[in-house]
Amino acid sequence: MTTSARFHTRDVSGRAELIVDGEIDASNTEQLYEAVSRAGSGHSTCVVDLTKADYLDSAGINTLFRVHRDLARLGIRLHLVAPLGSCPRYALNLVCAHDVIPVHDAIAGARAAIAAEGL
Amino acid sequence: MPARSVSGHTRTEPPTSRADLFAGSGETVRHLREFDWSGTRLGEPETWPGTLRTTLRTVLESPSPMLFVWGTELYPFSNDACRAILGEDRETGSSPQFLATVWNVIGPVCERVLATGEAERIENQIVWLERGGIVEETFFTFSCGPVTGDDGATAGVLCAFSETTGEVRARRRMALVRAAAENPAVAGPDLPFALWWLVPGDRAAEPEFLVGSEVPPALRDPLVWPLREVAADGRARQVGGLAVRAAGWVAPGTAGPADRAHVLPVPASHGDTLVLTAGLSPNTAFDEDHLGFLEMLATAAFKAVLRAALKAVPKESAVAHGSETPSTDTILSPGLTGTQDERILVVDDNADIRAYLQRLLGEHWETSAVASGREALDLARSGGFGLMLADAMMPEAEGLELVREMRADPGAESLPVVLLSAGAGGAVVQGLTTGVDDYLVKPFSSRDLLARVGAHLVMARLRRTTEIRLDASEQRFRLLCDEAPALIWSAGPAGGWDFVNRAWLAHTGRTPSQELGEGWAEGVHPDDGHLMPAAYHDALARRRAFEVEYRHRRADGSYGWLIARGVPRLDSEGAFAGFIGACTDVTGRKRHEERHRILAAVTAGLDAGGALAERLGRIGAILVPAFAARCTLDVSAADGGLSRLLHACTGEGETEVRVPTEVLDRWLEAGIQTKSGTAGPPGAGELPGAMVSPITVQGRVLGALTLIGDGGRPDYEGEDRAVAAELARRLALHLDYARLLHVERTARKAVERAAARSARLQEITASLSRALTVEQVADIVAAHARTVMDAAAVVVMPGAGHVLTAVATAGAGPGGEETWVRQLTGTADHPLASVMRDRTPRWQTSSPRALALLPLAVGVDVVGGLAVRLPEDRRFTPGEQDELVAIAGLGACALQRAGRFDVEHQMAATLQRSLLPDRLPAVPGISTWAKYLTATSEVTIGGDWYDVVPLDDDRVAVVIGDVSGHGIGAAAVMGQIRSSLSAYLLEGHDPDQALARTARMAETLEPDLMVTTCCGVLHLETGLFEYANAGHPPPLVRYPDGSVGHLRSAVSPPLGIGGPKDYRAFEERLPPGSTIVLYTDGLVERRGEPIDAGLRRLARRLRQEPDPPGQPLDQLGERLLTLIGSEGNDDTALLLVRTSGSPLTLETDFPAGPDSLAELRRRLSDWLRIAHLSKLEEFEFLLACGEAVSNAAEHAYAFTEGIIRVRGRITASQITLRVSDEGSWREPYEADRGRGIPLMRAVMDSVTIDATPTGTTVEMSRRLRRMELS
Repeated sequence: MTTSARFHTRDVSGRAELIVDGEIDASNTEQLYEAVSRAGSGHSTCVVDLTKADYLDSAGINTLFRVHRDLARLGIRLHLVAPLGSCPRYALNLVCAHDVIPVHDAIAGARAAIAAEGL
Repeated sequence: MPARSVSGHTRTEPPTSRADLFAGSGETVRHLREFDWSGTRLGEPETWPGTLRTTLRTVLESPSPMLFVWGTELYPFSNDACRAILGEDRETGSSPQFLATVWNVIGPVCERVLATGEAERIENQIVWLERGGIVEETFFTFSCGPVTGDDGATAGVLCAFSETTGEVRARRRMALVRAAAENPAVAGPDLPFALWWLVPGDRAAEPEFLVGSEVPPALRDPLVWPLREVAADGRARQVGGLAVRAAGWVAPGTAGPADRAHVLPVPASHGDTLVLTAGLSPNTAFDEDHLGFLEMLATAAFKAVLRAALKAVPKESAVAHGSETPSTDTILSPGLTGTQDERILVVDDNADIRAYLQRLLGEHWETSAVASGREALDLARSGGFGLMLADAMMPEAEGLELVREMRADPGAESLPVVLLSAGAGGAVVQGLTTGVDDYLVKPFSSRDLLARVGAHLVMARLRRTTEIRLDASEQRFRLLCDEAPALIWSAGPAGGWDFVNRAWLAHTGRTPSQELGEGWAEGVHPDDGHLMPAAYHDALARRRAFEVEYRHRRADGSYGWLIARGVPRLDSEGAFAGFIGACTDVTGRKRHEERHRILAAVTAGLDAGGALAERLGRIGAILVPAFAARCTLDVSAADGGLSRLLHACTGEGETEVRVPTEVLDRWLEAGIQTKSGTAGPPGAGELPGAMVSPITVQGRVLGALTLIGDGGRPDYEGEDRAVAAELARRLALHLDYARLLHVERTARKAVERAAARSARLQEITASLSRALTVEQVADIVAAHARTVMDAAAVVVMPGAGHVLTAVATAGAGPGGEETWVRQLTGTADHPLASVMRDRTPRWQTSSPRALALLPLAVGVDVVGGLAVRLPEDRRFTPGEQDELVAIAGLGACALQRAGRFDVEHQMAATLQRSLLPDRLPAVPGISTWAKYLTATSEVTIGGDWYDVVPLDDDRVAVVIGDVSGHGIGAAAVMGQIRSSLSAYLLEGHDPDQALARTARMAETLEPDLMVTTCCGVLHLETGLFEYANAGHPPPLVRYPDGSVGHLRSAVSPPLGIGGPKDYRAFEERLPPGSTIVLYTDGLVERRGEPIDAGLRRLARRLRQEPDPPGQPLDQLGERLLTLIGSEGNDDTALLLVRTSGSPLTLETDFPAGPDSLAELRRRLSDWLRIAHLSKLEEFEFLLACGEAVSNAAEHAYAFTEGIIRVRGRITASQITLRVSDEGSWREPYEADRGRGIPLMRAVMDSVTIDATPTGTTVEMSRRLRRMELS
């Protein structure tokens, strides 16, 4: 049985929002990578929304770091949304992901931060 | 609430020792003292709650009957006064017979009162009581009020009751007596049957049944009853053995056949005797009251019986029908003899009257009797009759119509006709004009009838004689006249009398020479000259017949009434030859009529209403001067003398009537004072001019009616004396009735007063039971004292420095500003202080106003004082005193309780929060659920507890326990026992050891403590349950297959009662998925059933309830809690512990590779469910394990296929995971990889990676956080 996650992309005025719905582990990190890099392409900012992600392990976190680095080379900024108290946020906190990638509690916070960056 | 309530030197406690509690010498306390309480639910008295002991003490000391019911099991106590209700000879404990009898009535009431806390009252409740050797129908009024327990909740019921049998019975009997006056065929609960018999004075005649209530025919047999014997000596008798005769017949309204009857004679006229045979209720003892009732009944029903008898079987006394008084004169005057050759035709449609008249007339004349006017006319035509006596009212042809026809008939025109008429007046006048010769108005005396009939026969003969002009036979005529019973005279044409017969001379006592001519006129009463000589002279002048009534002097000098009739005589030529006349002495009739009028007037006067004094006054005015010159009514007074209730005499032209109302009221108040014997007041014998008639009620003489004539009156004769006796009888009835009415009114008032008092006490009991604080209680006490007698009331309590402090005032002005209130409290020297020291109420009538000072004391403990001041200076009535004492008693109890409550309430609330576990620790491998239901909502504190204590490794301790009692004490003890037991278990002691140690600790806490508890240690891995039990109901186990078993253990003593402490350990291996049910007795105990029944009920419910392993326990728990009975008055704790149906270990293998990760997480998550982890906790294990597996897949089998083994183990305190492969790990080579192992270390307590050439094993473990299940 393979781990399954679905990805939905939303383009909003120059930024991309990718919603991850499901679990992320070593079995589907490549799909995550592709989904994020595809969503981010052509935008200045890409938001990965993990609100609906139930599971995120070190493989997933590694992939997020990797895609963040690759997008940054293209000038595309990556933001993460993971609600406090959720499993992905717990895992992200354990590796201090917010030192590398901005992590927001909610999509609204992410948008506000991005809007502030743009000014 | 500050704690000044009951502190200081008057600090009160309920009696603690058995000796104090059951002090005294009464039968009840003796029994309670000696009773072995250890086997009862209540346990030893020393362990009883304070309220129970305090209230019980009050009940036991109470002189009035009281019942006290305690707790949900409704344990009943009664006192000596209850015992007294049953008589003195009871030997058994708490009057079980009375209890058993009244329990049906008050049991449900007590339950309601316990449930609602509202007082209830049942009035005049019938109670069949075995007493005095019979099943007695008794009545009681019960007042049941709630008793508030130590915790402020209703814990018992206090029933005060009073026997109302006497009142109920008296009311019922009174009603029966009244009913009997209308219809003597009465019966009821107090009178199974009443039969009336006539025993004729003539011994040849058989006694016969007159009237009576429904009975079996056997009882209607005169031979059953000693009727003759009773009539002969006039003494009542009792007859037994009736139940057999009547074949066990049970009269309506009674329980059981009436076996005995009272046979009571009531003398009637003619030597006849009426006899009442009255059934005696099998449910009442025969006593003085019962006898009085039957005598009253006989008196009241007497006339109605006669009426009923006449209607059914007319007797001789029935002839004078329509009369109020029996006509008694059937004695013939010896001097009155008649000729036997005159036939008399009697016409009456009533056969009895025909027979009577024939018998009466038959002694003098021959008679023929017919029933109708038609037959009479036919007979009259046939001739041979000297006179016709006819009833004026006959259905076929009225008397008048008959006379009219006869007068028109040549064959019967001259037959004299005397009509018997029921009325006088117009009908008589009409009759006389029609041709009737005379009228007799019923009732008539037989003497009068004979005299008149005789006179008319003679006059008719005289008429016939003149008509056939037999002047030659003058001598024969005179001889004939002399033989006649009438007074005959004749006169010549000039009017001078020329003949008087022998009867006339005998009547006047004079000689013919004195009487003839005008001499007779000297005998005319001086006042009647205008009547007799005048009417005669007028008739003489007109030569017409006349009739006149006047008074004529008799031989003895007295004046008697005569009816004088005269008809003109014609000689052979047809010329006027003078008069022939006949006189009849109608004195008897006149006096009879006068007596009748007086009797009728007296009856009307008595019945006309008004106060008794008014009625007596009326009677005096009627009797004087018409019947007597002086009339007095004297009755025996309470002081042994006589009270004159009525005095009437002819004064100077006016009649003076005095009825001293004061004397009358005093007499009514004192009740009937009777004298033995039948003589009247001394000194009044049988004088010709005086009559003394005893006033007799129920066979007892209570006074006399004295009537004294004067010189102008004829002497009283037999009939006058009969009238006087009748007057006395009626007066007696009225006096008795008035007194009964007075007694009834007084009784009703007393009952109403008592009822009002009882209602008020009930009200105060109810109010007090709702009052929580000292102030509330004091306010209620003061307010009630004020309501009762419109008095000012103050409740005081001891304050600092022995000075009294007013806690509540009512009606004493705003804030109790008045001087007397300040005096009460300002000093320790006030009388109230000494009243409180002596614990004795004081009733002061000293000026300016009456003051009551009462201690508020419970037993020897004085809580406070109550001062009540009346608005005026008078004595406190006994009723008021009783009520104030009762209020003080109730108030004292409530005050004592409130004082404790004030302090306890705060502490209990605090303790409760700290002691009652409202969350259980989550223990992996078991599911737990617990609930604690308190008996009341007032203070949620009790002695029940439960605990779930995770021990080390894979063991968890579960505890259930119950400290006897409620409230602060029990809660505090519970807290100590609970922590002590948990501590011993945590230290690693086995359950039996832990119990033994806790028991030793418990004995140091309180001397009379009792704790039942069951504790056990569950081994999570093996399901082994080790447990020990200290007197607690056995826990139940529901096995996975649905069967139910008990966790049995040897009977071991509860903790804290000082017994041996060798608790034994037991063990049982519980299969996964078993549920242990631990509970306290509130769940299984119901009042009135053995605890086994509750245990069976619980086991049955447990079997029936579905309890699938995955389902939360709360559904099962809530369903089990519905087993608590509706009364639910005990605390209930319920703890459910279910061992996991899932294994505590995990063994699962996966093919290496990331695709296995999702499946790994699923299996792991399922397995972890039994550990009750939070979402993030679970994530930690999933993440750690996932990382380890990922590593193995990535590093060990990067290029090969292999198996990864995952092993897990859950214990009470931690979860261990082991992931192993058979490959060898390589070092991570990229910077952004290799985060797996730090993550594992971050979320686990320990991670060890054991890498060997043959494989790598990652071992991780993490202690469980003490997450608590909500």
